Amino acid sequence: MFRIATLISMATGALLAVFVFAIKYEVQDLEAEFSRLSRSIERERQAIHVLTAEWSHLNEPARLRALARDQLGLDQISVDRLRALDRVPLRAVPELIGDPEDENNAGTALAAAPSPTPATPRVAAKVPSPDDGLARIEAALREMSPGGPPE
Amino acid sequence: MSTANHAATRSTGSAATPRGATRIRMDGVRKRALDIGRNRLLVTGAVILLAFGSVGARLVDLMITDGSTLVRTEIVKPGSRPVVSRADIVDRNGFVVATSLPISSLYADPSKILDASEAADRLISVLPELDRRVLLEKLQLERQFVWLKRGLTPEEKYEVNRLGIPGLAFRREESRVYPHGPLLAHVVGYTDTDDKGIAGVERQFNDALAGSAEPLQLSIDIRVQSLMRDELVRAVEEFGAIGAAGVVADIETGEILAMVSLPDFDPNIAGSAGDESAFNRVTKGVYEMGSTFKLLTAAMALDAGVVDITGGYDASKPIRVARFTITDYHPENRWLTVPEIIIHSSNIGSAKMALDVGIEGQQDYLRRFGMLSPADVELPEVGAPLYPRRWREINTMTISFGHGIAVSPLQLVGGIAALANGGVLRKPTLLARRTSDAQLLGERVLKPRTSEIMRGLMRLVVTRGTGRKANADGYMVGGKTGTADKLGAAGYRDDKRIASFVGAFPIQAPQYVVFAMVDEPKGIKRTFNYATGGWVAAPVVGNVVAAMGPLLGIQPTQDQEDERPLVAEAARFVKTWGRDGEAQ
Repeated sequence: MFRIATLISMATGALLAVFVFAIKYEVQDLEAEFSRLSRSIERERQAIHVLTAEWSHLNEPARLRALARDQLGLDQISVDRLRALDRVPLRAVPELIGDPEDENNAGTALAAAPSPTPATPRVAAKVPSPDDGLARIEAALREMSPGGPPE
Repeated sequence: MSTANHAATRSTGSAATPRGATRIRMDGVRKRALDIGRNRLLVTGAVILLAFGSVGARLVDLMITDGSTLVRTEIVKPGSRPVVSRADIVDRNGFVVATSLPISSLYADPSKILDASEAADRLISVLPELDRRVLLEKLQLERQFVWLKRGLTPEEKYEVNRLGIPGLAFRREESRVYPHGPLLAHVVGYTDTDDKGIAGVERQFNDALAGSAEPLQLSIDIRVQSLMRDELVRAVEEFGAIGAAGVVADIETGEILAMVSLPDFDPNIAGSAGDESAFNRVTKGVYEMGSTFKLLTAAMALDAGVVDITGGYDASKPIRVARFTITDYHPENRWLTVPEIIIHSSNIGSAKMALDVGIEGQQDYLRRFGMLSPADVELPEVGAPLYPRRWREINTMTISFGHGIAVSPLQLVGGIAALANGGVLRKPTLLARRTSDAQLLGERVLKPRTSEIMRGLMRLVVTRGTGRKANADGYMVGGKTGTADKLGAAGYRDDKRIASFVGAFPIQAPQYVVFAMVDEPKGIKRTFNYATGGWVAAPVVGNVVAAMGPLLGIQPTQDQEDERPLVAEAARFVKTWGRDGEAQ
């Protein structure tokens, strides 16, 4: 009886020792990893700091203006190219040819356009038209425009 | 066992009679020997136990608790401290305009240098800009520390490291960098080599910048700043001027979007700021502004009710007071209405208008407009206005058209902003501000109705008066030109002048006030030898507005129809319109 108890407690002790050492080494590894990551984060923060300065330097307005002019052929926007949205003449919705069922579908397509439900692809598949995307954009534009749908 | 023995011995001893005295002695000897042996055993045991105990404790300490006495590599929690010790300065859109960057500086410990001559030769081979003689002297000093070069590039650092000379080492330092160079020289200022701000915002907020990681956000918009600077540089070059100043400010919040003073300098280059270039003409310089002051005169006369928009003054003859004669630059020689006085920029009319307001009335209004006290802005370089200590009638008359009083451009901008924004004077600021804060800080100085009339007059100056070149299609600029002769040693000089334009846009509901001033422009062929505010400064404002309007997303207006309600009333009282750019 006594010997069994001794054996069990010795085995338990040994197990615990192994366990403690395993944990200890794991913690050591984690700490090393943590310190490595911390250092690398610090390095990245420094790099970000320097890059922000460079970003600002590269964004110097005079430089951008020269680049836009020389490389892209862009120039200062003139005021006659600016219009309020309600003064923009919108293109009419393309008329859909077909039977009333198609018309129904077109209506559904417009109504369902903003919703991401799978209903839309089904309808779109039934009315394969390259103007479908345009119609959605126009629908969205009409939504925004206070002047109501154009003719 | 030893205790039992001891007790036995003792009992033997105590039980012994005087007859066995020798026995007792012998017992005593044995006992002492036993005691000594036992004590030694005890001590030795204790020492060994202690030694094993401490070894065991140390083992536990090392293995389980990871030895607190062992020096562990210091782990800096990421983000726990700022990357650099001095905070950034950013513009209103978050672009960095001043930052500290880490740099490496090379130093030597001469006591560890083995062969100074050889070390110097090899250093020169990678840092050829160093002087060999000076370097050799430094390397032979009887010290442990001497700077060899501050601020090495990473390539240079690598090369020096590759030499592997013992006794050389690097120290991490910080250096202040201004990514936009001269663009914001006067606003941001600069620091000395010890990172202490000695000019501009760097100086004003030195303590805050040094003790914080939060970037300081300015009200400046580098895009607008760049537009204004480009236009002023062009004007200075074209008209051979000695300097220029420009301001763009938000009319509702007092935020300064652009503040340019020319000539300027590059704050990245230590010592590049000379006396002339370091001088901030916008805040430190005070100038006789000339005709732009007529707006203030008209505003105070209308506001005080001494004249209304239908009224006018006789400007047919020059005014003679003592030894002074007040004349008009382009005399109309007739009775002029208030709108005509502004549009034709009549000195005579302004002087008479100011006399009606009175000396005290004029002082009171100028004080309210902020013309008699230094501009209150977050810069250490602020100049105090100059005005006569004894304020007589003649002073009132000349001040009415901007002579005999010198104010800083920023003061004028503040006053004109109040004139155009409905009559509320707000403190100008270089810090990004929310609209809600600014509302509280305003101080009403004019009736809203006066401001409305003034906006109409300012618009007429641009559409049909001296400021036509300030017009920007779709943005309805309104303002006033100014041309002031500079005071020389022998009175006013007509060959040296200050040309300026101050305006607001869009004038029917102003959002920004814009000011441009060119110092000592010279007339050129293109301008028919004129170097007036209308020819020199007004185009600067017009171009800046035309470019910044779309940039800031300001809704363009339909000029003709939108301005009608504003200018129609005043326009009824104008018989002849001004000539383009000629008048003062």
